Amino acid sequence: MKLLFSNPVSFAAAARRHRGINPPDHKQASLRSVLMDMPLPRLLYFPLCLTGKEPAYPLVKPGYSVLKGQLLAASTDGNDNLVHASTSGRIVALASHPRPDPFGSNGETLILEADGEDRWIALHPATDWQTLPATEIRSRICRAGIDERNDCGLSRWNHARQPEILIINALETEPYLTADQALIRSHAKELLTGAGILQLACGALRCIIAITSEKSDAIAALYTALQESGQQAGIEVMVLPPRYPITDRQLIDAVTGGRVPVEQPESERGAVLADVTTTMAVRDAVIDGRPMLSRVTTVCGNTLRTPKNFRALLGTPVGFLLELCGIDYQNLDRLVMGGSLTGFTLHSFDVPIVKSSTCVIAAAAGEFPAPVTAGPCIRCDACVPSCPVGLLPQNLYQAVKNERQDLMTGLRLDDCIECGACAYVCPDHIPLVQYFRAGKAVLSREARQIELSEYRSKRFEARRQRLARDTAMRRGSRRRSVARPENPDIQDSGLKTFSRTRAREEIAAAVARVQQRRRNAGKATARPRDPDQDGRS
Amino acid sequence: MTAPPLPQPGFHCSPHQHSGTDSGAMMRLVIYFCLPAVAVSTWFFGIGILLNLLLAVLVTLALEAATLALRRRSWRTLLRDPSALVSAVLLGCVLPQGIAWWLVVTATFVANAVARNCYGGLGQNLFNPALCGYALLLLLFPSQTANWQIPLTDSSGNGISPLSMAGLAGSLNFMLDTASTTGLNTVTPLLAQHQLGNDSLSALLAGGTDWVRLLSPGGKAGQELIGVAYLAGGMLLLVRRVIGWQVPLGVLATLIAASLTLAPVEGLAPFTSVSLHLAGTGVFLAAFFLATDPVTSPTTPWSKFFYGSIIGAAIYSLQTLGNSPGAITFAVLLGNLLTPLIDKIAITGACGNKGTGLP
Repeated sequence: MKLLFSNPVSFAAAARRHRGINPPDHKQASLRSVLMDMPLPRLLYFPLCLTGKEPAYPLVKPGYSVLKGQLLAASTDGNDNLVHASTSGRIVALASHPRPDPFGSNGETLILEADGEDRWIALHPATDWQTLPATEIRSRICRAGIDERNDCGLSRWNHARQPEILIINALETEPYLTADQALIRSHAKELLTGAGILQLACGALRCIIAITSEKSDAIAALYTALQESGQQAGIEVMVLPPRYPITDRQLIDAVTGGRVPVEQPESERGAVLADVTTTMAVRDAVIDGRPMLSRVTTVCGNTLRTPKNFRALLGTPVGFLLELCGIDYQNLDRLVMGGSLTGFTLHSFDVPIVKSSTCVIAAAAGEFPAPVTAGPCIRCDACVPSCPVGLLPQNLYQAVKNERQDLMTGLRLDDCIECGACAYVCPDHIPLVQYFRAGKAVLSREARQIELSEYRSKRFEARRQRLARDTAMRRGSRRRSVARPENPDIQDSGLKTFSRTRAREEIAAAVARVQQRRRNAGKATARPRDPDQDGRS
Repeated sequence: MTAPPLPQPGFHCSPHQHSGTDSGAMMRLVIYFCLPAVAVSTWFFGIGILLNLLLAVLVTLALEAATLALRRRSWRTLLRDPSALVSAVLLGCVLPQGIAWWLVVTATFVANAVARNCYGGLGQNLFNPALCGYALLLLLFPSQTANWQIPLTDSSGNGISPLSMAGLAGSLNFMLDTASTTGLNTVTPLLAQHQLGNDSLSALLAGGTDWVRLLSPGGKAGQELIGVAYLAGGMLLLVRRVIGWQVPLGVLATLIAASLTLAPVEGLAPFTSVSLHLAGTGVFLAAFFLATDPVTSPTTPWSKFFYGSIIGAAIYSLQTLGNSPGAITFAVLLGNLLTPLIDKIAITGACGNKGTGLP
């Protein structure tokens, strides 16, 4: 076991490398109570379409009785967006329901009425996970429907290169979020087991749990757990200075001590990232055989009497959790899902908890500043040192505002992670993140247009070539026939020359034949006919 | 669950928190930190300084209100956005005591209406508005702009204090061009210190000078002390993080380095001492208050330092080689002019060629 407190020099270097902001800490309120289990809500909601995921198709119908842990829906290939019933009960509806996304939209949702018995499906626990082959572990993780948060996370396991380092991201830099901290405080041992399983599954040589220095109780818990389980070789804890945000790229830089070049994707550094929730869910999936049915969610905000962390069943409506914390509805100003710097507002109390719901903030009036009319940019440069990616937000802002797509790509708008640090520090209250989202939309629309037009031009070109080929073939055959009139086959088949008079004769003969036939048929059926049509047919 | 409907106060986008910094508050700080120098200036040169300031502020407010009306914006912007007032106060700081009122109005008009609002308002101007107004006066009315008329005697020839009611009347007479009082003509704060040498700070520090006469109203230590007041205000701006350290350091370091290294060069002899370049109001006012205007200065740290160095070098060359009283003014305007180019090069460095379209 090793505790990696970097020495003061590299600590300062890490702080310098970690650009960003230091927003005031709001973590204490929800950390006062321990991690709580919650009672069963009456209705649970399982949205089938979520932003950024394949849509899931239901495997059950309204009226079906389901058991806890039963698969309710999955994407067409059965690998993505697995939806499991988080308690036993009856499916009452497949209906449109508010879902957690920034647009406040509704979507197809399975509604489950809990029967209160919490009956499980048959589980297949594995007591001795060390002996399981990596493939078996992976298939267990896949079947558990574990949400993969980031690009260089679990989805890159099949990457050709074997990863060297597994990084468990316990940084949780958002000012309100305490879910990971609360979870580690009470379940450090399970986290270590989960990390060990992940390490075995991906074959990483080292495993590092990265955590920020202000989470002293969680660090202490990890330390104790590491000492108790002496056999956990290869797992280390790395303490980083608390800054917001710490991107995956910065995290890999800090852990490997190098610098990921801009052109190189993070995954190629030989690092695999997983967050705390994922790691815990992996442990449950492999050891107990349980799918991911709950996640730890921070429920906080100044309207709540007792903010706390819940082990929330997936599908629980947000309002149910808020009631458990004693919400003061009169004082409620804004309901935010996700952190205070990257979260989105909710427009309904019925929005369910999903696998990515880290936090619900019921903000009181005055807790978050009311929107202010943005002033003009005075190029004050406050945003430049705040950007964790090293972009130039004020120049990007001008590029987006002037719709200069060349500048947007040149200034690497696509690298923006929308962390909100620049808008947080902007003294003119410019909603920079919104501008950048709009700019990205313009770029992606443009890319789609280019793709479409390339596709169309390719098809047009293919058609033109085909027509030209056909014409050439037809011309070629005719020229051949003209050039070689002595060919007896062609003369015999009557294709030798085109004669107008002979054609007329042939047509007249054909018309006469048809008329003769129709007259015979007309005697039989006595049906009146359109003389025009006769001539044409 | 009997939840009332959620309040729907419009559409909120992340981030939901804000650091609380406000550009209006920062600009107010700039005005506040100018005020010590204004006070010192008034002490030495008379109430006319305050009259200039007041006139510039009033004209700016009127012009700003007219512009807002033309652009069909709410007049409340006038109260929220003190950026126009910053230009007015800085202009009031550089205009000489006793200058005619219509020159103050002209300079303010050029600063606000032409250099600021014709370019598109706050954040769009290429040049520092206050310096544009002042540069126009320097070019068109050099003699009036270079002269500081301090009322030291009243109409009957008795000595008066510039700070007394009689001094106020004298200043008003100068401004209204009904100068029945005789005054002392002296030099401008932003003037090259060609005429200064004698009673300057070095002489003061060497001792043997009449301290009371130097520090009394109308005394010759005025320029140095105003400079010190601007230096103090600039330090406060630095401490409060309203400005960065790069530009002032660039200006002062280049100026000092140039005057130290070029001291032995023949032909520059009278203008080589460091104290001569730093003495006087202009350098500190320019380094801390005028060149640091974020709108007209580059963006990345290194390019800011480079921009400051260009201004420092230009101040040195214009003061030693040139003969214009507006060396500092034109040096800062030169820096403003080069800012877009510096920015392009800096962005190319940060993002590669694609960032700017430069080859």
